[in-house]
Amino acid sequence: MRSPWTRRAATAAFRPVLSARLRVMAAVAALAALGIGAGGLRAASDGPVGATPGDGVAAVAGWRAGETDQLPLDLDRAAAESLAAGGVAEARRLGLPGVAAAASRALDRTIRLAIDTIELRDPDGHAAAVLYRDAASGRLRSAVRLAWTPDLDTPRLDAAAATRAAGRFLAAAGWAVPSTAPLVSWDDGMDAWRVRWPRRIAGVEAPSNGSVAWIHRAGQLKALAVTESPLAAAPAQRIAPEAALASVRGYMARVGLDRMAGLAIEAPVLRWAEANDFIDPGLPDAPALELRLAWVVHLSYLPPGWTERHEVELAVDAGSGALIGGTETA
Amino acid sequence: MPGRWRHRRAAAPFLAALVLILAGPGSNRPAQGATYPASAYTNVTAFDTCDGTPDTISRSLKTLAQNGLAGLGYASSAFETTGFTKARFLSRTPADEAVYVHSHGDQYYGPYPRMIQGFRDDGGDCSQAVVYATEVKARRSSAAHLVIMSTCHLAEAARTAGQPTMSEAYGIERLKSTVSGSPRGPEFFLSYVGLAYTADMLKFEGRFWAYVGRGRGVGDAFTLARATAGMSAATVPDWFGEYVYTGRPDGGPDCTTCL
Repeated sequence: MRSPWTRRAATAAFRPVLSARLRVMAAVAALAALGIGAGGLRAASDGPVGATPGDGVAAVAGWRAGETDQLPLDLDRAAAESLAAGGVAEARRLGLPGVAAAASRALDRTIRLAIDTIELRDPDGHAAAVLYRDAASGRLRSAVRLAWTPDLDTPRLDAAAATRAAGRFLAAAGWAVPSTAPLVSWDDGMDAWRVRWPRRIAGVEAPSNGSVAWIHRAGQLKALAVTESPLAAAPAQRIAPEAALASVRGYMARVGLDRMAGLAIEAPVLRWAEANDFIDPGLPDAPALELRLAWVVHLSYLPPGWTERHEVELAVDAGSGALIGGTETA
Repeated sequence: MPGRWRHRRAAAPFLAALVLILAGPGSNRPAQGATYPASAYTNVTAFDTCDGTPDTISRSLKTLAQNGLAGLGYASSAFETTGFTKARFLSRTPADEAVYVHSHGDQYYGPYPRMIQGFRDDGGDCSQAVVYATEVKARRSSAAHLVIMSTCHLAEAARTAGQPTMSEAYGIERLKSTVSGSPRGPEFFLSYVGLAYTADMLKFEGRFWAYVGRGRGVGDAFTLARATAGMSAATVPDWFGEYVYTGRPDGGPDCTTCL
């Protein structure tokens, strides 16, 4: 018979697992209520699922490191075959290889959305490309080429040509090509040109969102990603940047940041920002589904004993003045 | 490019050769059934007490790395706060087959004007000694399999000519199998160029480990994570080594989606 201490210890060890299971069950229940995972999605005419706040998916518990990031969802055979066929056609439009495909559906808890994955394979059964679609809207979120052929590396493109190619692929995927100039750079890690259009909503940038295409040296698509998170309602009345700065200064005083050497505070910049657990460590690792209009304040300083400056960004809700998240350099 | 050894096309002979190398009588790798030590370190104190902000990302990244390394077949130990000291790190350096570090990384003067890549230990306080690439290199006699420096700057070239980069300190040249024209062997190094933001690192590394856990090779896992993580433009990861490598110390079971 276990001692009470052992039982307590066992319960304590089990608690995180239990908590995670409850969150997962809540997620599945929320999706079931939407019809996702139990015979597919609502018809498009019913309105988008997961694209607006308060529709249920937004309430799905966010992921924490150590938990499973994906929950498989039911996808009947006919729906899977339809998805796979559509994926092959879409891959053709993007010039991606693959002659056969398999489709699956899962709740991605890191982004709190149901995602369809369509894997294309070469004739030998090797992975050739992968497409990820928003299960609710059916729109492409990412397309990635995994197969390599020698012609991909024939050097032909400069940055301007890579930009034109990126625009063509974005349009082929059914996305509007932004009229703004993209940021173009060579990406060593992807061994490809990176062409990025940051997302702007009424002139306000959303740094975590945007359209990115990676283009091989010879002009073929290496990868495409479009991130357009749903937006929280903009505040009816926006606080002044000075009020945001006051909120940041109050926080800094509470945690001792105001005493750091070499402190430099930049003027607040309006952004559509992700709320995350930077200010409140009790929140999940996954950022909130919706972007919020926020004043973002960039700080830098020298923590005690350091010789290199540390940089921090804090996001202040543009309506309430509350700190909703942030990030820092490593 | 004719004759070039490239991922996937040459993966089968590479993996077969890898198995033979690992199992061969001349190998200095541990025999079958041996453990493959790996260490995951995270600097909690720097991102919490020292910089004045509360932090959970450091521990989240460590959890991901420790689980990921264990899933690949390493005997994975994890260290933080007073457990992550320079002395402990260097004492484990010779034997580690895989290493993960989340900390501040930079090219530090050692001494001026020579710059050497390094990262700060934790130690539980804010004094935080720098672990230099030169100190790692002096303790390594063979290449590591999998090295992830979850820091700023450590995927960059050396700023002072002749100094080893952190990847080179672990015996992993700054070359990619996909562009070098030759296989790199069972090794993979991952870090970041310039400044890296922790919220982006959590997104990217969470994806990376998830793809590895589902049987992707480390190269495909990098590419897929890069394309799906939704990072800001500021954080740029890079890698060196072998694209089709599974990341496993024992060469198998083979990556289910590489071949």
